[in-house]
Amino acid sequence: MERVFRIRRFDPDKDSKPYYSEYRFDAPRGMTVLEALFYIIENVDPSLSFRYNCRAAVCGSCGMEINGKHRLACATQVSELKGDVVIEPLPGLRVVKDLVVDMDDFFNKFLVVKPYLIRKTPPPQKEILQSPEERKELDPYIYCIMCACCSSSCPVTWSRSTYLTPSVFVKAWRFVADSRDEAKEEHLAGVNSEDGVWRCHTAFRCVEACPKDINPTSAIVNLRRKLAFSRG
Amino acid sequence: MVEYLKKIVSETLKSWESGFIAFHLQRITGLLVLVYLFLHIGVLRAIVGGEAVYQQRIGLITSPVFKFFEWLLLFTVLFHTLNGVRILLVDFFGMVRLQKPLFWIVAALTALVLVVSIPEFFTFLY
Ligand code: FES
Repeated sequence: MERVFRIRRFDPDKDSKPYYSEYRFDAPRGMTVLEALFYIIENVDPSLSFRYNCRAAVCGSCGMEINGKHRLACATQVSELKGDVVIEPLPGLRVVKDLVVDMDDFFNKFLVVKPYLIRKTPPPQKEILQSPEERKELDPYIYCIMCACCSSSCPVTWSRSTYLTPSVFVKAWRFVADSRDEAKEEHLAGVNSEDGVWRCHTAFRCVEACPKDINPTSAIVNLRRKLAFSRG
Repeated sequence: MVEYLKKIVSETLKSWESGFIAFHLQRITGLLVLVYLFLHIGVLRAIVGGEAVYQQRIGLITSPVFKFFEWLLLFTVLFHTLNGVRILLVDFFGMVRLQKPLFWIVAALTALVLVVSIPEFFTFLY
């Protein structure tokens, strides 16, 4: 079936403002949006830029706005989209070219919550034990692939560039909830600021956006509760 | 600021999500309540000018047009209050996963009260 793809293009070196390119071709059953983009650069227009890596919804490189929703191009079937397929870069992040956005700022924000397991006691002889129940606590926060779909969909991020964004809170909660971690206050301190969990306005855009079905708002609410009740 | 407003409008029009709509309405109704507060004080202030001035000012706001505005004010206050309760339930009582049904309950209650109150506000119609 012939489908129409409208893609937002912008090259800061050449263009004064963004414009849309239109492509029409047969999209066979089973074609993902990422494959459609490959089809375009291979057969129609090699100047199109986009980011990808794993093609299997694990690396988080191909987050983009497809028909108004933030999704992973590699995990979105063209057949599930109605009408013209409109593809745009994630909003709220600087466009490097076409669908490629600058992720530096997004990644740097994670550092403040110390996104790694911290141990104070000497390591045990074998592995650090964790019961299945304790492990279950981390589901589904552990599935975050840092694709920035949630962060770039958040209206608070658009109005305040220093806001830590939902994905950072998911990461922080993932370690605070981990029974093996021994420095919960250190992760918590990172989100306890003006740009931290207190600035969330519960617009639930992150929940709608997450391609991995994570609920960042519940991580935020959990962190808030932890902070509120941990004060002396 | 202009960039931000453009983005928020275009993003809203692209995807209608209950949580996002509630977020907008909460902000808009909050501002309207603030505006109303000043109008309210402005009107009541007429009492300083004596009874005649006061009566005249009150006469103004009992006109049908103002009755309609009053009805809209009911919506503003009602939605802001009920959605405030929703946010409290979501945020403080951990009902994060119930935000959607809670939004629809808020919307339904607001609509119900607005409809039921029509005879109260629009007496001049019949
Ligand atoms: S290419 Fe890796 S998530 Fe889509």
